[in-house]
Amino acid sequence: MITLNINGQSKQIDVSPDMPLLWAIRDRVDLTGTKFGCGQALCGACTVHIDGQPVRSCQTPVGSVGTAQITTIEGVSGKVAEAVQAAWRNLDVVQCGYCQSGQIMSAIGLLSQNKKPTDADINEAMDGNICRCGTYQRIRSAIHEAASKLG
Amino acid sequence: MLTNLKSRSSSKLSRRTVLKGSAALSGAFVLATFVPVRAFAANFGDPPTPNAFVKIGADNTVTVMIKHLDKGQGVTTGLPTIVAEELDADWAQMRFAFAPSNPELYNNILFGPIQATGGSSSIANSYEQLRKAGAAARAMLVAAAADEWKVPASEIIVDKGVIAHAASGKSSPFGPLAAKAASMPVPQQVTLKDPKDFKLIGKRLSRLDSLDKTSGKTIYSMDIKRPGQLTAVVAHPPRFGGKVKSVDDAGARQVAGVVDVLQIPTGVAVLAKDTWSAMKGREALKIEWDLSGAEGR
Repeated sequence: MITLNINGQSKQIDVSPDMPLLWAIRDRVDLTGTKFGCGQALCGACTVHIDGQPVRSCQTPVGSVGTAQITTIEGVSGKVAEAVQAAWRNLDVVQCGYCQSGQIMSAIGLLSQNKKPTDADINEAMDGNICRCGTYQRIRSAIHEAASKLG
Repeated sequence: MLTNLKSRSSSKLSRRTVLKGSAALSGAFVLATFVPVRAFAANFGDPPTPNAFVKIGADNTVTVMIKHLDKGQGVTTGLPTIVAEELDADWAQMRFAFAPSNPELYNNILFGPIQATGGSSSIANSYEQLRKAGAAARAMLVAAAADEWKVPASEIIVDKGVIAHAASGKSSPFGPLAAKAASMPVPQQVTLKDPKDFKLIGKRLSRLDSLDKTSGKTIYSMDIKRPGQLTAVVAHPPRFGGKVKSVDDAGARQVAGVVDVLQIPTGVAVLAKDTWSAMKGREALKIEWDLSGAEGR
C-alpha cells in the first residue's frame, strides 16, 4: 500500500512501486486531467508538480514520491496558477487541449521561479512540452500576460 | 466513424454526387472535394428544429447541442455563435454539450443521412439549420412573454439575453420564461436576420471550451471510465502487415492485473485492470512474427 499526498489529500493505493505516477494518478486516483502522450518524458503532457517543481509523471515511479506533495492540474491554486489559467482563457490558447494541462503546469513552474521571463527563458522552460495543434505563439503570449498581471 | 459510415450508409452515399470520384472513403476526411451546397439547400433545417439543438435552463444558460466532433477546430464555439445570433442571447450565457448519436436528428445535411464530421462541413451544413433553430427558440420565448404579460408579441424586443416590452416596462432574462416557452408551438417558419444586423457572427468571441480545457475537466476518449472496464494495449508487428506466427503469453498472464491475452488481426492484445499492468504484460509477451507478407519498403 502506498500513500500519496495529492492535491492536499491523502490517498492510499495498492499498486506496485514501479508503476509510473501518471498511471497511479489516472487509473487509481481517477484524476484524468493529467495526460498520457509518449510515456517516455519526451512530450510533457503528463507534467505534474512535486513539491512545486514540474516533473514528468510518466517517468516517475510512484514508489519514489514518498511524502512529497503532488499537485495536478485539478488541484492547482494560488496567484500564479490563477494568473496563468486566466491568461490561457483570455487569449484562447487551447485548441484540442490535450497537451494544455502539461503546458499550464510547466508555465506555473516557470513563473514561480522567474517573475519576468524573456522569450528565451520561456522557450527554454517550455521546450519539453509539445503541442501538435501548434499553439506555441499563444502559449508564449499568455505567459507574458500572466507575468505582467502578477507584476 | 468511417467504418460505421461505410457499413451503414454506403448505398445512400454512393448516390451522392458529392462523393463521386473522390477518395472520400479511404481517408480520414469524408469530403475533400467541392460540395455543391445549393443542391441541398431545401434540406437546411426545414422546418426549424429548436428542441434538438437549443436547451434553455431555468438558470438562464443556453446550451447548444453540438452534432459534430470537435478536435480543436472550434465548432463548440462556432455552432453556438450561430444559435446565439438568432436567439439574441448574451454570449456569457452560452454553453455547449455534445449531441448523442442520433443520425435522424443530427444528420450532416451535406452528406447524410449520417451523423458525420469532415471536409470542413460542420459550419456550412449547420448554418441555416442552427439559425432557424435559434430564431424558432427566440419566437417561442417571445410568445411565452406575450402570454405571460398579456401584451402583443410584435411589441416585444430581445437583446443580449433580455426579453423586454417597452410600453409596459416588463422585462425578463430567458430563464424564468424557459419552461413556458418550451410548451409553445414550434413555429413552422421563421424570419432570419439580415446579415448586416449580426452582432455576434463575424466577431471574435471567447472559446466556450477554454474553461474546462484549462482546468483538466475535459473528458477525452482515453479518460472515459465504465464499471468493470479493462484497458487493452496491443503488441503490433515490427513492420506493417506482419502477422503473428506464434505467441507465448505465459509470462504476460503472470503479471498482476492482467486478465486476458487475445490474438487480434493487428497483433496481440493484453487486457488488464489498469494501463500499467497491461503495458507490463505486453512487455512479457514472447511473439514470433511472420513478416513474409509485411511491407518491405
